[in-house]
Amino acid sequence: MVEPAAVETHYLDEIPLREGDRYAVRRTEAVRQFFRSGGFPTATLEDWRFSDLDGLGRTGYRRYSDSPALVPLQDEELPGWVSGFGRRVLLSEGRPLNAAEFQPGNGLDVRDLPPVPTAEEERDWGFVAPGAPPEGTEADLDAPLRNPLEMLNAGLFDCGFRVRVGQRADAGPILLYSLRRDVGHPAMLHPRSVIELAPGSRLTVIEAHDGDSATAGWTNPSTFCHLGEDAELRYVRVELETGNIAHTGRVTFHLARNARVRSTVLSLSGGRSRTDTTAILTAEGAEVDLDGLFLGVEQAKADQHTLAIHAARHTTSRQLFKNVLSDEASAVFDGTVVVAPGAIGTDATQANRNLLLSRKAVVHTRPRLEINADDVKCAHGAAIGRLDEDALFYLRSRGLGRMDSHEILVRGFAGEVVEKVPVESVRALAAAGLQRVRESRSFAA
Amino acid sequence: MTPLLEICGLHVEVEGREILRGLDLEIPLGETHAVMGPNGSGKSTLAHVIAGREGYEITGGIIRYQGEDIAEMEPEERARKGVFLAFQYPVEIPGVNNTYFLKAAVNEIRKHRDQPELDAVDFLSLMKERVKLLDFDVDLIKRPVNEGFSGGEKKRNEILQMTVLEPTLGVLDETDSGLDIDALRIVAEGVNRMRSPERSFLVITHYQRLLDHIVPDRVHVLQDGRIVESGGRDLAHRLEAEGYTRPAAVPA
Repeated sequence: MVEPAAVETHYLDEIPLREGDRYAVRRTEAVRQFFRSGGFPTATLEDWRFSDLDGLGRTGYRRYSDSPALVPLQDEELPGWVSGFGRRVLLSEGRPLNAAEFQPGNGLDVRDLPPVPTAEEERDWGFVAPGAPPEGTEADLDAPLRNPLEMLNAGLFDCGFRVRVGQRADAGPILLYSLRRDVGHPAMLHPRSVIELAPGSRLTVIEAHDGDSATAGWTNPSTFCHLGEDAELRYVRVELETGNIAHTGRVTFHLARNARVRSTVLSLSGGRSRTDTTAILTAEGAEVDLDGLFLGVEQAKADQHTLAIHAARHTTSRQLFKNVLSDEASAVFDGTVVVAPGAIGTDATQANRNLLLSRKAVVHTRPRLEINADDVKCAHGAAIGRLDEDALFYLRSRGLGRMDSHEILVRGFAGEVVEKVPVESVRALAAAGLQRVRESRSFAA
Repeated sequence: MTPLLEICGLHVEVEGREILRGLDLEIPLGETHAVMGPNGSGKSTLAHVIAGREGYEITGGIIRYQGEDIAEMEPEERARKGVFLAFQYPVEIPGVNNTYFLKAAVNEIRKHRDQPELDAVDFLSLMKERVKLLDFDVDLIKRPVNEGFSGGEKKRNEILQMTVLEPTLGVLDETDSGLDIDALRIVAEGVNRMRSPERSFLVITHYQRLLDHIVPDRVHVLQDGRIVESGGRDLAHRLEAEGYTRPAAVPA
């Protein structure tokens, strides 16, 4: 436990300062700004009402690099789906394991985060807003940078990857995998990754956060994706952390003209997580699909926040977030579509669908539209329900068992999101999540 | 010989309301029986009770299938023993592929019969053959179960499932409703092809029309939750001409 007054000092002390770090001042400023703007968000803040992060501020997390004699991860400790993945870069407790050996090819280059970004790189690293909104519109493009936990990451980050795809290259899939183990003290990780797609390029990237810990842990990653004109990104985020780990992650997409993002967030963790997904559509023709699926058992809790900022004319966003909740699992969906003044021709949809398998499961859903332009098409909706009794009887009347019938319906519900994931071994992770749902106490009870 | 289906003095309540009030019905193996009756007489309740739907409370009487009391039997158990219900309103199941679903069902039933499970290739060739016989759009079997199907397509999908699952007792709950005459003929042919000394059918309908195509061995009139009259196939024609409203001749 850390005394409230000492919290700021604690985190200022945790800033990873390196020799000749011209960024040191900015890091310190970021942490100070975090505390000036209120520090760790509490449930009294509208945007954090159901996020249940109160414990974060009271736990004296330290960086992993302080852990004495941490043995680097061995290959055989990797889960099968990771060791079998063609192109992958790994972090173990924030330490890069193999990115230095990455052989650039097919227009794809992956590096570790440099200890000190150069001045030219600052924008790439996501510290600076992407610039003024396009002509004829007014949009707030800085919103993702005002997320308090983003500020803390900007001050404390000490690991991550830089992924670059050259013009018109077609690359991937590449796996960015971070695993954390229990080191016996409350440890925190602040990875920061930047994914850059040159105009006309294509990339499939899987970002996975994994690990188990009995000791309190906290993972607070920021990922920034910059897409040039006509670039296409297939992004899949897999959250696998279990045990006593709190995950607060963010991914932000900047899309140039005719760029296209299809994003899927799979929350398969057994712990608490909050993920903020932001898409900034900065030029005509940009198009984004934001999907999410949470498979919750026991006391797992997942909080999905989305923000689609239509900053230019004729841009499209589609959101589909689904939750399957068993036992005492709980979920939050808080999704916002912002149509900036002047962003005519916007086409936005947003759907949140929830399947409750237990009387104790809870969902809070809040779809929001902020429309400041005419001539737009926006639709949103949320649904909360249980398994359809008619459908269950239908399946059982064909000879399928009670448990199997439940499973078939749950799988059908989740399939809409899972089937779009382009990598088989990642779909298998969702299948394993569905198996945990089937084995949960409340299933078909 | 024990009838395949034997129902004696059956009373059934749904949400506290008595729907079946002492229903008697026997269907010997190899026969096709029709149950006709006006709306609200309990026709669909009878179908659901035979299939084992929850929420239908048996408050009296006996229901036996293959000589076994099935009142407490789970619907999947009944299906595995050869009971099939063609639904009046087939359920749409988004996200669940028709072929996948039916293959799982076939193998569940085969397992029960100690037959080896069908692999994907065997199953697909079986499906292709049955689909052709029913003039069923082959693309529909790749879609989610009944999703976006027309009324006629849904009904044909029921019969397709029945021909693949090969039940011992097929219960058709108003399969004719919503079908045009061509679809009706195809569905009826599908049923007639399956008729055999080893299989029985219970055809529940409001209209005599279906019974021109599936000619029953016996016709029963269901009214106010009881069978009030039974007879040969001519009874259906008489009902069509005279209506259901004649005084009920309650059997002693």
